[in-house]
Amino acid sequence: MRVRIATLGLAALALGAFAAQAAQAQLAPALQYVIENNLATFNRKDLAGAMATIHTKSPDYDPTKAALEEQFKDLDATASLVKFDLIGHDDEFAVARVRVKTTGKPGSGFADNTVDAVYLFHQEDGAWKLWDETVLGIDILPQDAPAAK
Amino acid sequence: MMKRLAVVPCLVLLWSSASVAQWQPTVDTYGSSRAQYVNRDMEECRRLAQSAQGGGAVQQGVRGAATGGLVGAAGGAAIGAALGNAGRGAAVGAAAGGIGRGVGQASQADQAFRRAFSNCMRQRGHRVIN
Repeated sequence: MRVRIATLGLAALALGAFAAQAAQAQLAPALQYVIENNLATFNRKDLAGAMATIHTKSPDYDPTKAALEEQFKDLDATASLVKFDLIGHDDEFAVARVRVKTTGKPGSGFADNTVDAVYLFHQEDGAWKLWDETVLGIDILPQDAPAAK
Repeated sequence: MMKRLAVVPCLVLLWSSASVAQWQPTVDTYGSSRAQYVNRDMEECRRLAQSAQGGGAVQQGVRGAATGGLVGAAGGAAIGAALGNAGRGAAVGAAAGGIGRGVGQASQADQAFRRAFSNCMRQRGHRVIN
């Protein structure tokens, strides 16, 4: 009897660990998709689409919307995901380290850069959204020399 | 006469450095939803612009301030626009009118600082007048 209870207990633990691992494995792609969607909507100057990736209660929501409205007027830049690593999560938030490269149109004078940052995600209506970003480092990329005439 | 002219570029260089430290863009806060953040953004953008004026990579001290409450692609775009001169007209030339190469360089650095400062404030949603 004791052996049976112990066996059932171990089985329950193993199942729980397996379920947690499976949930973790599903979380990383879901969060990466949020970032990729944010970048893709930025690249096609889709303000509504970009804002849909940000939690409406985030303290960064209004400043980001104001900045994007300005940027979409006369800025021609492309953002791409360089690296994504899930750091962890609890019941409310998830944290990932993300590296994003932003490049401008050649000759536009834009300072191409790579931003290394920690992102905080929070769920809204069952979907993960961007909540906050803390920059760890910025690399200003060397500009290409203008082509000789 | 020649000695007097030689002194002027040095004085202009010193004046230019001092004026850069004091200058800030004029921001119209009327009806702006960002009005409450203008002082904070001014200080953060000043630090960022001073780093840009140095000509090197952004210093460690402005990392956290660099994106100023922006999240996602907007942050990198704001940095690139603030530290470059994208969408804000042609590069500054030596507008010193032949007084001296040093004055021209000081003028360029000063204007680069002002441009970066103004761009940074605009990227954060403020209406910059000058």
